[in-house]
Amino acid sequence: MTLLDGFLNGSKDLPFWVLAIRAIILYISLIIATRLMQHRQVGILSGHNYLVAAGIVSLAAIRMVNPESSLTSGLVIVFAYAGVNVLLSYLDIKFPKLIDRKPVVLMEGGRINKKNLLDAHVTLDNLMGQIRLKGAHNLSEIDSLVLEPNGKISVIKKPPFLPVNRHQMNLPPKLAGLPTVLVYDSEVQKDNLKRLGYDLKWLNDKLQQEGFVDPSQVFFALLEPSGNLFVSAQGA
Amino acid sequence: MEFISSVLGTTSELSTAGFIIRTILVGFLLWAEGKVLPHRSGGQFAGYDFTFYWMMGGVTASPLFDSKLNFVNTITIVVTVFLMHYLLSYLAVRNRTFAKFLIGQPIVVMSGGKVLRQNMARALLPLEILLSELRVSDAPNLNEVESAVMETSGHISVLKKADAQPATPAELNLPTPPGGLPTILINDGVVVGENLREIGYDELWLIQELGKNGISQAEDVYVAQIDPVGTFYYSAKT
Repeated sequence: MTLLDGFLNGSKDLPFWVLAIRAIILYISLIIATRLMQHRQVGILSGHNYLVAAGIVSLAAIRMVNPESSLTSGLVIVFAYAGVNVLLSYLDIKFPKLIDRKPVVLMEGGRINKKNLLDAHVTLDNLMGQIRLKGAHNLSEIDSLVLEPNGKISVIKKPPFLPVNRHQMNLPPKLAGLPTVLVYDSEVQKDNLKRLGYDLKWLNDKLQQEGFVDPSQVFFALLEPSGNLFVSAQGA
Repeated sequence: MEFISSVLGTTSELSTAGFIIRTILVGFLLWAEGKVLPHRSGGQFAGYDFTFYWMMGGVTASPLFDSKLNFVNTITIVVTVFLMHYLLSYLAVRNRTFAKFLIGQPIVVMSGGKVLRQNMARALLPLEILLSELRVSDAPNLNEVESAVMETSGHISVLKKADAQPATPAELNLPTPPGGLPTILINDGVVVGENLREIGYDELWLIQELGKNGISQAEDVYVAQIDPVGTFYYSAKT
């Protein structure tokens, strides 16, 4: 009974394996909490996201290593903290101006905005480094630079310095779109097949043309918008 | 009364309910900090941004670590660390010598197509990581790389040789329309009036433009944008 009590509420002399189990529980709770906070948390899209990222991890870590801390409140805090973060993210959708910072324009029409640069405490050397990372080495090729709320700098190049597109080369229109998964580790994705208006027979015929007897020999198959079927075989 | 002081101050034992109230208070702190934190800290442009970024998160959550830690101390530290970062940033943008001391300088690890072994060592950069970063930057082939720089943010920027770069309209002497940033005109059903006027249009024009696309009112639009050429984009709510 005292062991269970120590497990839940913490105690000075906790056996090491109890500490390990507590750590596993906190670790799993952290993973679940991260899932609840959605991808925007993992991508650290705004100010509160990053504070929570750093906070929630150290929070769980400290509770893990301290045998005297209560596991129950540790778990409750992890989820309450995640809840607060989700609430802030939700408010960010409702009141975008209230929650997050604004983007800052650092360059517009090819001219550096010195005031904004200094106000944002970005040195010219920092700026040069960040735009090199974006593959924009020559300032004369850049139209605009925006310091985004998450701290990343986005680069908008002047049109003559962007890669040539099909339209400029007067090439005929071409279908662009996302490919559809038809076979995933030998398993036919029937819903996708049906959505495209095909059936199993059509797929089997297609695969036979590629030299496969049936889908069990296929690791991954994708139908691309051009009509091209990508097939990768099972096996080594 | 005693409960409130135990929530805000140092106490040897705090109930789960007490911790929940602390969590909500930390939530307010998160909101306030998220508003005022410098952009550059999130961008992690340099080592001191990185330190600040992770330290701030830990300090903000600290009242939840242990009941003995109190709010007054937390806020003191938050303000202190914030002011330190502000001061360092302020000095860095005004004095380049100090900036070089604080932030360090980028290290050129490839130049003229040659991998600079000495600089790689100075940057504590193994070859595998360089190759990995080059792959991430869509330059897996060393033949195609003109130069690579280890930036102060810890990432490697890559400049491809001219022949390996995509052709641009400038090189092909192709005409291009004006470019630059597009303007947002409708945000979740709400017309952004100041943007509309800035580019010389009014609400009437917007309604007409939407009408051409079979939409009767701005409320039905989730986002509408216009690019510098005047090409209109919209996406309806449903």
